Amino acid sequence: MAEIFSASPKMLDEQTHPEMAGFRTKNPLTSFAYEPENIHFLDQDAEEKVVLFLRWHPITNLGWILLSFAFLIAPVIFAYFPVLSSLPLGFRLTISLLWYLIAVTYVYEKFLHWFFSGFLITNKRVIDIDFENLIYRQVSFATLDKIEDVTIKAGGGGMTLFNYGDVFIQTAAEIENIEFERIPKPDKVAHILKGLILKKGQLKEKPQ
Amino acid sequence: MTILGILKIFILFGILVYLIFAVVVVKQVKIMNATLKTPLEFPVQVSSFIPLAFAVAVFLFALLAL
Repeated sequence: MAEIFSASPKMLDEQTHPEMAGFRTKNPLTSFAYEPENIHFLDQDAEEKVVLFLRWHPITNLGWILLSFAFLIAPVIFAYFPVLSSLPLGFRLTISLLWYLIAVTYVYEKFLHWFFSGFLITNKRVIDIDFENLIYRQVSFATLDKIEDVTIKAGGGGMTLFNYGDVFIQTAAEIENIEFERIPKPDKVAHILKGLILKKGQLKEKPQ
Repeated sequence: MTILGILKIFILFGILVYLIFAVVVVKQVKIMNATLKTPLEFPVQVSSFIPLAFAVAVFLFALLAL
């Protein structure tokens, strides 16, 4: 099991991006963390360092948050339309509790989906952790030297206003495409990725 | 058996199925915490018991109230 450790401020050598210093954060709910000291993942090598940790932009949670409020106040509204008035009190209370149980499950599932579905860029590979629902997960990764193409897609009012978009990574690995979806600052992500890929290529060319 | 009796059985059965699901969720959160380690590992693991505890409470309430 990887131990949580305090890393030095600069994990990379001359390829570190000084303009990214402002994006170092210890916020555990962040969607964009540069060189996070407190994020680790399974199968992380001893010399492997997380350069960038990403989640979906927080604004993408707005839909289910609003729906959750609707779930919570629905029983109050339904009280004015006594649909279940023919049932005994015990049944009505149980059905109300079941409604809130389902609402709590919905909120919890959505939060976990956002919290655990992350994207990592390390000094060795890119990793896509997808927590599709409460009982299914998928983890994909590709080493940096297998990356062939990086494409940014960002369009529409919301993405432009809140500066988030998709970064598609085409690889020569078994998994042909790794998609970083709805992430903040996709341009910066692509820029960092390009720097790491170039650095990887330079290290390979160095004489032994 | 009355209609309310059948409804009671359906409700209790549904909650039992949900209980099994809630146990799976606790296990899944443990696996996800092992996959992606964050400073919120412990609070998230504890929170995974909330739906399970809520479901147990609703089941017991339904047993008594229905």
